[in-house]
Amino acid sequence: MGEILTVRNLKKYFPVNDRGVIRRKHDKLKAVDNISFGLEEGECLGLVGESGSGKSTTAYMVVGMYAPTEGEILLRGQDISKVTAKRSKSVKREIAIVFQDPGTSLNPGQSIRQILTVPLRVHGVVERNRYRDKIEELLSLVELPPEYMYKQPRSIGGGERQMVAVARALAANPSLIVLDEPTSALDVSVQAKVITKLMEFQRSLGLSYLFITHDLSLMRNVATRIAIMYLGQIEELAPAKEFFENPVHPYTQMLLSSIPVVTQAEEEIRRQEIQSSGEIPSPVNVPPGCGFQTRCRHAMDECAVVDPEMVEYSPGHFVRCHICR
Amino acid sequence: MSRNLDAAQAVGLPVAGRQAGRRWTSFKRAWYRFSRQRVSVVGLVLVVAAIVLAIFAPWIVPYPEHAGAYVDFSQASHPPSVQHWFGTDIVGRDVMSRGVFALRGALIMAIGVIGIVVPIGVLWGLVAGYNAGTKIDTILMRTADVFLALPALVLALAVCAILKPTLFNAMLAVCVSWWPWYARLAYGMASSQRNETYVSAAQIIGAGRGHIMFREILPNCLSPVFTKMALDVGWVILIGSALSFVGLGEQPPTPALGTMLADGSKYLPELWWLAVFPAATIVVLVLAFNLLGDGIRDALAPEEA
Amino acid sequence: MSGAEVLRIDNLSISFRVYGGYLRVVRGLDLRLNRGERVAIVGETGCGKTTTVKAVFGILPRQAVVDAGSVRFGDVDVLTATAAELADIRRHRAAMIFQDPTSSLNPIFTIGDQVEEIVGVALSHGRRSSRKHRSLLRQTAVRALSDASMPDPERILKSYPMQLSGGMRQRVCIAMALATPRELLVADEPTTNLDVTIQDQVLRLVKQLAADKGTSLILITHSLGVARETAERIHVMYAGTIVEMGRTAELFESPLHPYTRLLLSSVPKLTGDGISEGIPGRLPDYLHPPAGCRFAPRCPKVMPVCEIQAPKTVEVAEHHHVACFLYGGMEASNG
Repeated sequence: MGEILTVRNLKKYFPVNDRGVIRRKHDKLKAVDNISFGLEEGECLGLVGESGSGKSTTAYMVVGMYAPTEGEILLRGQDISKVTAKRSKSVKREIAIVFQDPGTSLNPGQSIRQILTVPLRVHGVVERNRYRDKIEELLSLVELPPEYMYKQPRSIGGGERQMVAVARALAANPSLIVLDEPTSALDVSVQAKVITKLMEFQRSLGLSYLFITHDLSLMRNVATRIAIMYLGQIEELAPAKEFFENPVHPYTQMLLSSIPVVTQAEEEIRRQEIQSSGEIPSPVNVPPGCGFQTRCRHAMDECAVVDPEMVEYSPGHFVRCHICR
Repeated sequence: MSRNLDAAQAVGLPVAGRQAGRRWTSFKRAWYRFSRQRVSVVGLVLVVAAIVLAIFAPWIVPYPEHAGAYVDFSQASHPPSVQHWFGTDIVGRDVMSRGVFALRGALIMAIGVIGIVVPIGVLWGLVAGYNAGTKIDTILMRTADVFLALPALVLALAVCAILKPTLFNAMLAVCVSWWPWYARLAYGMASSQRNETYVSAAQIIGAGRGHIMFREILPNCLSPVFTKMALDVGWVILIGSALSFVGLGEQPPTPALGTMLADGSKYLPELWWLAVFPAATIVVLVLAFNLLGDGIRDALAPEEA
Repeated sequence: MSGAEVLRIDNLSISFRVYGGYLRVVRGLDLRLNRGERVAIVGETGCGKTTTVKAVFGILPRQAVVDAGSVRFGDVDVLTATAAELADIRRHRAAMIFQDPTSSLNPIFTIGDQVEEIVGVALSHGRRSSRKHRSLLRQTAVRALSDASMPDPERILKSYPMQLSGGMRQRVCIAMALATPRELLVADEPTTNLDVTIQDQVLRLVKQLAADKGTSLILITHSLGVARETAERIHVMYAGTIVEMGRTAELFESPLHPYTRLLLSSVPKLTGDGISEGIPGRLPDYLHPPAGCRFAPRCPKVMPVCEIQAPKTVEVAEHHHVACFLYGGMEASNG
């Protein structure tokens, strides 16, 4: 066991707002601004954040949709900080992704059989004449009837489509699966089914998951460790239990208090009744200091000037905030 | 709206028997959408009839020999009658028989042109669209733009006037000016699909350029292409008729609709049938293809709620 | 009919004409809403909740057919209302906000234009010609935004929708909906597209504004948590019928219907109890719906009678109704 994925000082800046005619200056949208984390083999790391936090951009860099502006991404120590076109086939086989919306991540003009054949063919998982058998195997793995291979994505329900996307991710026997909000678009009862299956696969196939989501309640039940992102930076990173028992960062506390819960027991866990306030500022031309200062109830003068450092608050529990010192 | 369709989709839309989802069902549903407009079915029937007539002309028409060099002045200039439904022309040939034979030329030209122009144009646009934003895109599409500037009919006139006026030359000229339209169509579809999530998914899996262009993107580009093809047949028939109208298409004695119309118009209004029937044939033929094209567009359209 | 009743839906059944027949979506739906109440309709995709409220506004699509039942908005029978009566409801008496604030707002007009348009229509003024009239519209618009606790209303009125964030846009939609007094506000998944911290703020706004203006609220959502935070009474809807209805606290403390229980157990909890397996099976085929209870094929407590008859709604406790044979309803046989 070791780290299967290592991310070091990762940054992704997008140029926006072409200004000026002669000088041609660009503003920088800092989608991901210097993050580092590691994913242990077999664990599920939850990358949690709201919109604009940079969590999806991070995921896209890990799978190679974007090239990092700076920083490194290592797969078992090997540098893969490039776009998919430049990555080796074996690397592409090891990393799979499940996107949020199966309506757009599955080609609507293809049958499910054609969709599932792609990874089989690209990586030569089985011989040509065994494609059909392998697809039946994959479908039964995700508990879908074999007849489904003749259907088109639009004629099956959302949850089932997502299971097809999962089957596709598993087809070439990957080691790491990036899950980009895989159940956010699904009803809660369907989500439960999909997540249960995903967790089963993790155990039985020894997979590592990078789980991107905004749903903290889900992470409480699924993640080994949780990292909270805000405005492109990781604000808090801790093992799941510790994270919920001892949330330190003000943003984490605000998030926790905003979650709608359904039982009295959960109300008690949340403890503080913090009213969420304000909105996430634009990630273009971020002012110096801590990104959360505009909404933070503990904001001090220092927060507007100095960027806080990541500090190990307790073993394995890291926080980026001036109040921890 | 999509919610309720979701409800229907959640259970897999209805089919007879267990063959849920097979190709046949989607054909049946496409037919349902196609046939909702009755005129589309009329168009389909007329087109099929025209094709059948054209193929089997020598065995169907009452006077097949009239399509060649034939004269019989005793039967000349007869108005429509039981023996000659569309009347006879000034040298005694049966107008209807000649009209049916003329369909051959019209349809061959149309199908020939479309058959050449579509694969070339679509391939061109597909490659350009896949590489949208790069030099390849610029080179390919600006070249297409140059050809786009050529007006089909004028170019055909010029080519036929300079070289020999034959069916082949006419087709060639139309092809040269027609292909960029398909390139543009394919380019639009391909360049927008380039950014779709399923293309990224295929790239992440490791699929190569060829797979993505031909297996992921191309199938989704086809429905507007099919629709345009059906409508274009009508256009090419019109162009072909216009060419033969000025004597630059097929040469006599091979019957051509435009030629028959040109000759017949000299004798209006006394020998009205000489002009009216060829004209009506052109109109009906073009209309039929247009209706068919509309129907295909409806059939291929994604189901709305 | 009590004077305080704003909305009364009785035995509503709606079907959709499609290829192959009719999708019988909504069946025998009852709903009551009194003045000032906040209720939620909780259900998953495809259960028919949006269809139901569209019937209230008379905006069902072409393919929809009302098979049975009635919808009474105050003293108006919506299903047989005249165009004028419907227009009256939409302009003055009821308002709706939708899931996606971006597509609810016209991108080429300023917020001010759009709010004033709604207000102008609501105040039943004709051409907006006089200066006095326009200033009244402007004032009402400003007041609407400040009632909704929006900072700097003047600046927002001058902005275009694309210049505002998603949360702001939704707040604008809410302010617009309640700019003039309304009896009813329907919010269809108003926070589903929003971040959790913004969702919290928007829900608080809806609650507070509706209370301030004495407007009754119907909140449609698929999230039990959102319903719990916002509503006094909750209707749980499955496959076109209301399977359980009760006061919020009681519904969560003692859920009766097996579907409600399964749904609750499917929600991941902060207490870390693990993930349930969800609910086996899928929604029924609306084209060929099951004869008896629509939940029977998936129900862990199914009994033989469930597959033959549809259960009638039974009042188990005060203000706690359930449609399930586990709690009776057998004597009320085929009706």
